[in-house]
Amino acid sequence: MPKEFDTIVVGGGLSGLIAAIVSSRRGKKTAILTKGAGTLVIGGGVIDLLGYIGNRAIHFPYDAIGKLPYEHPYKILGVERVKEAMDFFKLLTAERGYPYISQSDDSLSRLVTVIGTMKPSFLRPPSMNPESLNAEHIAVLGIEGLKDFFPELLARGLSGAKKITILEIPYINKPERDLSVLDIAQFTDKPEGKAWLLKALKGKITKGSTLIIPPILGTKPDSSLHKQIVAELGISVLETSVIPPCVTGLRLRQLLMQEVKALGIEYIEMAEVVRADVEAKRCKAIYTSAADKERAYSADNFIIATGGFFGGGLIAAPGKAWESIFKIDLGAAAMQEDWTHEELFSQAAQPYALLGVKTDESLRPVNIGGEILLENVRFCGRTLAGYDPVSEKSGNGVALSTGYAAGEAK
Amino acid sequence: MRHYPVIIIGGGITGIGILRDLSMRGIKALLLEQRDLAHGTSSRFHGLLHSGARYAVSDPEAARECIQENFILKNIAPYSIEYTEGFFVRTAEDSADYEREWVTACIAAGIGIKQISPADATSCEPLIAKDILSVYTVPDAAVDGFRLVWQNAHSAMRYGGELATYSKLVSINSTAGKVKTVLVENSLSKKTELISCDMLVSATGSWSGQIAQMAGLDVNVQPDRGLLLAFNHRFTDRIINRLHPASDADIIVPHGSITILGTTSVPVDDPADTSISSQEADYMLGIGEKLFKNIRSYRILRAFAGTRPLYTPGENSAGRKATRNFVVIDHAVDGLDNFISVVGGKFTTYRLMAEKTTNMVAKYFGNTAKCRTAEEALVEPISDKVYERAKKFFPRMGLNLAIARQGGDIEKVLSRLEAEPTKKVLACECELVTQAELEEIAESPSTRRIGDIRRRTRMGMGTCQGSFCGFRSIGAIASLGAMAEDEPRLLLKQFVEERWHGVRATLWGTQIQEAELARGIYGMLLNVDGADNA
Repeated sequence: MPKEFDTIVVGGGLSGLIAAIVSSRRGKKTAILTKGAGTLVIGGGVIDLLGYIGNRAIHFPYDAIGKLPYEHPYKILGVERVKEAMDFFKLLTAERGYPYISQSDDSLSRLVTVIGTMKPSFLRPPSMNPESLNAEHIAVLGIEGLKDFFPELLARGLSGAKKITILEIPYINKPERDLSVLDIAQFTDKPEGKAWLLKALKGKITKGSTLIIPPILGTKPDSSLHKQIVAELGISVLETSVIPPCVTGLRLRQLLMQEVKALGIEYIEMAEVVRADVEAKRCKAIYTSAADKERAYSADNFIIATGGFFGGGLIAAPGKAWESIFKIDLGAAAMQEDWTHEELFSQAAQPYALLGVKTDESLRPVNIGGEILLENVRFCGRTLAGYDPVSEKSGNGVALSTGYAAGEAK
Repeated sequence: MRHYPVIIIGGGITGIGILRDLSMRGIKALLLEQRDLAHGTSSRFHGLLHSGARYAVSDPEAARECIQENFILKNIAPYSIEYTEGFFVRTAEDSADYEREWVTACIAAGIGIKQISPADATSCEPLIAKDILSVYTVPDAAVDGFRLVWQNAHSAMRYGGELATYSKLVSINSTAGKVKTVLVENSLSKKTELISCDMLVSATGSWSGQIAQMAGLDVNVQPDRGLLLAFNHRFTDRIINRLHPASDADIIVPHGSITILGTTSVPVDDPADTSISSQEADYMLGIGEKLFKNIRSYRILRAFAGTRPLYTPGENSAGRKATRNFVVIDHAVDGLDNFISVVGGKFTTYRLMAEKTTNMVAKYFGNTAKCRTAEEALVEPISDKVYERAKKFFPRMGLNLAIARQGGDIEKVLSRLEAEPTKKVLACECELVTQAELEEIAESPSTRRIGDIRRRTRMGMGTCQGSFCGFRSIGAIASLGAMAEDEPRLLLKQFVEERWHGVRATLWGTQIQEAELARGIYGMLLNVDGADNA
């Protein structure tokens, strides 16, 4: 079979898109095969790096990476490559006009969530700057009829010493169905939506205070509305994360897709990869399944960013689990009771969440003895073993740094 | 000290049925429940309103009671019952001799069965295995345990009945052969109260032995644990029973958009033992596969377990008038004049159990009022005027569901919606619960904990398993300023943790995807578990 691409990336989430961008920038003819849109719209569009090890809160994640167990993806990459990936991402987003920011001392910042908790994260867009919480006066914005945003809940969760007020504004562009944050963000993409928001806020909030809002400042990776409100009203505006669909994640996805397009990366949708041809530890081709037939794609190198159990990159059955394309056994416990803790949120990694593909430092899959199983296939993101993104708050950080490393690999 | 003529222990369907019957006959009563209404067995079964066919061979008297009560409940409780009809299906593994015996027994018990061809049956229910041998229709129906308990409670309260949840019985105090007082502890505030009564009724199902012991008596009830699996979709429109002597995992019941497979039978010491094992779940799927070949590929929402109260009359029970189905014990024979236990029985026959128990209580008080629980509907008819008002806010399906949950209280929900029309947003897309209804329930004095909201609305029990509606529940609580002493993060955590217990035993296939979504939203996005938030 003639070779079609230098590199084929399977999966269109954060790690897959980053891997493809890095690979393409290195001059490789690159394609992305995706089943769906990835999980960026479910996540909050911020880059968590490493919030906790067990029940210990981390402040300087780069320093903490050394303390992780050896099978952790960060430990496999080494802290320098993680830093490189973060810097790459900062540069990429800055070039695209929507710069992600970290603290100047590389410490974690605590971002405000929709229930008023603080979540440790590393890189965030400018509209999520938690430093504005230091303001004298804080208000939470309520919008008439808006679903899945409860200003009283946010205020109750946040309130410590500070008094938090609630500013209720009416909405003018109601759909026939329930009104979502995404609806409002789509409205403020348009000039009349921007005008509505500015007018609704004008004179309602004292200068110098901070207004906490749901992520309604447009669906595009573009900070201009945020800047305009801040400049015209003389206030700080802070967007929170919300439950899906996450507008902030959508913005990040759009930004990355702009770059994919600009680089001329082939992006093939509705292409679920179901199996592979492997000969002498080399993958020759992978096969997608359409309605009635398979189609083969060949390349020199393959990067697998198909996600974990949620995304479909890993499959679980009673007492066993495997990777979905190459059917790599993940060594799951035979008794289902050993897969989990009695508590869902116990601050410890769920045993099943640590299941995944084990790799060498070049992200090639290895067996228990450390022997490389596939010479030209690299795994990244949630397919990888050895970390629990939920208890650690490390999800997008691992996706970004392993996607970057997979794209860089020779 | 408060005094009531009658105190009823147990907020399951039987106790609540007794409260309604007593209240309708004009006997003042207080019901005490250690947790929330229907927290015990009344919400932990497959939700089958028996036609009696399952017992026709083994227990004809129970079968006759079931078919009578089946028709009475369809009449008085239409909002709790989905008239699905049932199939009894014989596979190659089941005996043809038993089929003949069963047909004769059903006819004798007055159960309207009708044979249809396997081809006709599989054209109605296309997912049933094609190799089945014979099929009969029976008048089975699906019943919502939570809902029926609450509708009985509302009806009882309209007649002056009182109930207290999270009220745990600590001791029964008797002198000179009579119960005088009971000591009750509020399980949330830990405050205790001594309440006096003229008569005490225990309707505590699997807990009957423990309660009787407080009065120094022996009631021989063996808790028997059964496991159930709830599936994410409605893969059968009818209740499917295996046509063989009653056994494990041979009943499948559709409820709204989900389906329940039950059950197993394991004797346990503790009536509150609702433990779940993955091996037991796997075993049930192995049997379920005989009727639904692809059952292992269907998404399981959760596993749950409850304990049946199996009653065996003790050696000294001679002379007690007992049906084989249930028994009302007058403890006068044990030396306590004013203490009654009602034991055994089935959900389907709760009303009859309540009637028999209430008859005994009424006789004690010399009350001769007639029992009317078989005639009077549980939910008062909803007027056309209310329907007209509601049309502005509800789609038809949503309105019927809301009426089923709220009964007459639907007018309070409507008033909220009329005051604030934006509160028609759906807090739960699975059960079509509006924000207004959620707030009405969150503000109800009987709602004490986040799980109470779940049981009243069924939020968190559908497809999303709380991934979205858990957040909305605490949003409503915060908007109202309710449960002010609780940190929202912990309420949310509590909501999802209650679901997790039923999820972890079958964490594979699509279940693990849903669990990862819940962890993603609550853990990764909202950091409910973060150590530094505590």
